[in-house]
Amino acid sequence: MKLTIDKNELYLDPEIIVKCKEIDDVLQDIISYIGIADKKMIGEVDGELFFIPLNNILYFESVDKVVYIYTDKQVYRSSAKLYVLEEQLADTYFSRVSKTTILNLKKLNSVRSAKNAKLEGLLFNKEKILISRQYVAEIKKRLGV
Amino acid sequence: MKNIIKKSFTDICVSLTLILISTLLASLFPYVMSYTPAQRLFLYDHLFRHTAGLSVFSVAGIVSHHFIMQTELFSASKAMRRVISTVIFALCAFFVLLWGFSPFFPFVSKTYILVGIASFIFISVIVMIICFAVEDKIAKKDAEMINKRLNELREEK
Repeated sequence: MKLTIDKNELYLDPEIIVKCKEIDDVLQDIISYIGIADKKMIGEVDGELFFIPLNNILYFESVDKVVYIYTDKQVYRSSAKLYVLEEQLADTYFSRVSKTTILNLKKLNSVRSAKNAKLEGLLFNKEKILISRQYVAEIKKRLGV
Repeated sequence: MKNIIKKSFTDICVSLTLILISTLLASLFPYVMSYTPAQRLFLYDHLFRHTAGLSVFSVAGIVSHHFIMQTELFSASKAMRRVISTVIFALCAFFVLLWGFSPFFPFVSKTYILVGIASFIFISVIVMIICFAVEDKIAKKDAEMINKRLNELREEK
């Protein structure tokens, strides 16, 4: 793959152009990454609003109809609905793993089978997430299994 | 939970209506066949018991079907839950019909029905155990595949 960086002070906003015959898996990964690289979500802590880069988010969880955004250091409250977030993040590394959780698959370290034939995901920060069987097919598809 | 009650309610209404129509039609039977009062009493006695049995089994079958389908009770895939529910429901329906029509078939004794119900429970338990084992095996295989892919992605980086 050829990489060309054209740096010029005349350019105002950075622009990325992909020239290819067809989009393969590697290229798709790069495009997805570019898509979410500067994307930010709005989260609230004690009435204060924060812009959270998508790459810093571990997972979204809905508790009593309120969506929370989990990062390594902080938990934010979001006004968005989980199904809306699922639609917005459809082309990213975020995938629905249970009725209440959307997980950043890039933060997933490993998976093991849990009780009742469920799966348990272990994140890089040692946190554990339950994965429902009905979403396993979608996760496998996202990971390219 | 609301969804289970809503779906069950519609099905129960349809089922109980059908049972009621069948009972009414069956109650006309003695008049068509010119039964004696003693025969009529015998038939009505059985008809009442079997209608009640049929209603209870139908309600239980419908509620358990929707419960299995709507909740993650078995943590099984939707297809697997449908299989479990259909097997339970079909066996339930079979014995309910056997029970309901037993007065018309003298060769079906109470012993046969009890043996049938015991077999039904036994088969259901065996089916459940097999389903759990299969689901567990699938989950382990899925976990293995996902871990392998995660390692590959890390190596590619």
